[in-house]
Amino acid sequence: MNPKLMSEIVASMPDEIAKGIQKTGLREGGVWMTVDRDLLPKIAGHIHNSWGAALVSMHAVDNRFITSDFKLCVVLALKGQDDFVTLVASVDAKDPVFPSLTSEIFCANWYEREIHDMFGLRAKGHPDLRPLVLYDDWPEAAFPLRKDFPVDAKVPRVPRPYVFREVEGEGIFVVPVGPVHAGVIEPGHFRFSVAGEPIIDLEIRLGYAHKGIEKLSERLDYAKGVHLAERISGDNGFAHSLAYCQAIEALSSVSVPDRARYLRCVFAELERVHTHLGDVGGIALDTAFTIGAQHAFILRERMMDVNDLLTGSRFLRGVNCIGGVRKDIDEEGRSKLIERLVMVKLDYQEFYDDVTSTPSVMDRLETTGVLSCEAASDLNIVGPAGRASGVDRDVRRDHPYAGYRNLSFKVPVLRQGDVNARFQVKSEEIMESISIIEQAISNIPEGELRARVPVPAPGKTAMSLVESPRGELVHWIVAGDGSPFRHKIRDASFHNWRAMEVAVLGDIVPDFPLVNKSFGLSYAGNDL
Amino acid sequence: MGKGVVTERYPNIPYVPHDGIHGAPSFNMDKCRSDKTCEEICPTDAIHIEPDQLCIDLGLCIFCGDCALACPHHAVTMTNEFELASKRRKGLVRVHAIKQ
Ligand code: SF4
Repeated sequence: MNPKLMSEIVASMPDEIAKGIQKTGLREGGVWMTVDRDLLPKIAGHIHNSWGAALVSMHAVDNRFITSDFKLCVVLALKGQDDFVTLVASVDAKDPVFPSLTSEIFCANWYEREIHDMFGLRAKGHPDLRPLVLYDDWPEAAFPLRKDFPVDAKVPRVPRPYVFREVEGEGIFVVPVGPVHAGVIEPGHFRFSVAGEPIIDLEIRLGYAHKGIEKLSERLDYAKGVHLAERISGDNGFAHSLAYCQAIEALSSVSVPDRARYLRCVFAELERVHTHLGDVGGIALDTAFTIGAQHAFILRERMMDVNDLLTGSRFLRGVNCIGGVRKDIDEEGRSKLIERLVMVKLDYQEFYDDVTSTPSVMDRLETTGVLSCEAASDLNIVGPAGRASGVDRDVRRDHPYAGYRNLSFKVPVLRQGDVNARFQVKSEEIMESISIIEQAISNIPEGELRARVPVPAPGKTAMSLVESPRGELVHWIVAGDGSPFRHKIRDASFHNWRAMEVAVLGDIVPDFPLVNKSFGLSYAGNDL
Repeated sequence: MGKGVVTERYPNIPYVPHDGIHGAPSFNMDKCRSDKTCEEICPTDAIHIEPDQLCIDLGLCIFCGDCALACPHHAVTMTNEFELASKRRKGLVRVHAIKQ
């Protein structure tokens, strides 16, 4: 970031807000501002509103054994710039309270609930501080991400009823669904309030599969952490391990060899293609268009098979490593890959034509599950789901990483925000990804696959954003002694789940699975 | 729209995996010097080396291949073996005698 921009941001603030800035500095990845805790909401709100900066992450760090306080970090991405503003406020360990950001930045809601659950810092003025990620019978004063909470602690189970939102009125029924579902999927509880057929309210309760990944990462040395990152969210494992590796590489100020950068793009796009194929197949399946769905699943299988052929893993595991990649693509692999892509491209067109020329399917897709552009921006919906509602953001273009700076691609954006728009965006993205792979594989530079990366110095901080198939994801790491001191992970689904609560309103309950599939959400990525 | 038959008659007709898939790691005990490199590098603690034996627990192994890359004596290789199911937990643990 250029220093001018930094002073412009500060100069644009009214005096009564700017007085809360205690220190500013430029670091790799943008501006860092140490700010007064009480003015944090106003400062963050100003940058969010006046500079169109989206909230990328909000999280806490338990620094009590170093600086005797908790640190609260708010990371904002400046619109139209490859720059970030990180606001850091100190929260007194004896008075673990901070003013809530929710009145300024709507989507801070879940972040603050998560911080409350994991660190015991209370957001004053937050409209709803019920537990978000902890189990219902988790005791009140046990905060898992605090440093004095042992990783293997056994906590007593204390029954605490979770109070759901009540919707009352004549003829209103509540339909609770889950957390155990009919299919073999992950757990989530959905509470529909219906007036006749239409849904008038949906409340989502997640967290049933919370695994403590951030805590676990703090005791895994960096190389082992790659395998953990790969398993955060099964079908987005490459994107997660990429973000993790890039963060460690940034901590050590190492640049990755060009060949590895290109290969990372190839693998990341392979992951996008098979994930999107699964999603569009699921959309077809949930409209009872089974033949079409199987058609998509055949293509997905072909892509996963090519992953297996190239890397030895259908889910591209064991490919990323800190400093580069462990798998190369040789001449034979290259020609097999190109052949497979041509086949999938042609067959996909056939599948697409089948879906879009079947009126009974299109009737279900169009105008169902509408998410307006305004709601998508307020909730900060990322990835294809956001782009289908007019949110023109894509990390690959806005904050290029790996080899994306040298590859050309289009970012499809639609405005309708319905299931069909999400289907169309994903369809276009499949084609774009295939084109990216073709470009990358044809221009791949010769050279090393991996750079040597020294162990990062404790105390340094780095962040990496990656456009996973589901959208922007973030790994934010403070280096510790051989392993992360703090590792914040934010999956795309942490933002996107909330879109469901808005998009299904006015639809009928049988459309819920379809709308859900069109958002392609991850339970595992949300329930860290 | 017809695609013909795309499914395979597994297990009646055996599945032949691609070369280089990460199946079960195999330990060549003639080369092993029991220096514990694999035990230390394994991210899931799947390998245990005792004075007289090496145990690999395939129930814990995530087939990452780190042990094979790390072994200075090339005693570990990743194989194509993928049919590892067992009806008993113990059936997933393989024990190799260490040659002194
Ligand atoms: S393959 Fe990976 S998980 Fe399995 S034993 Fe080797 S190092 Fe451990």
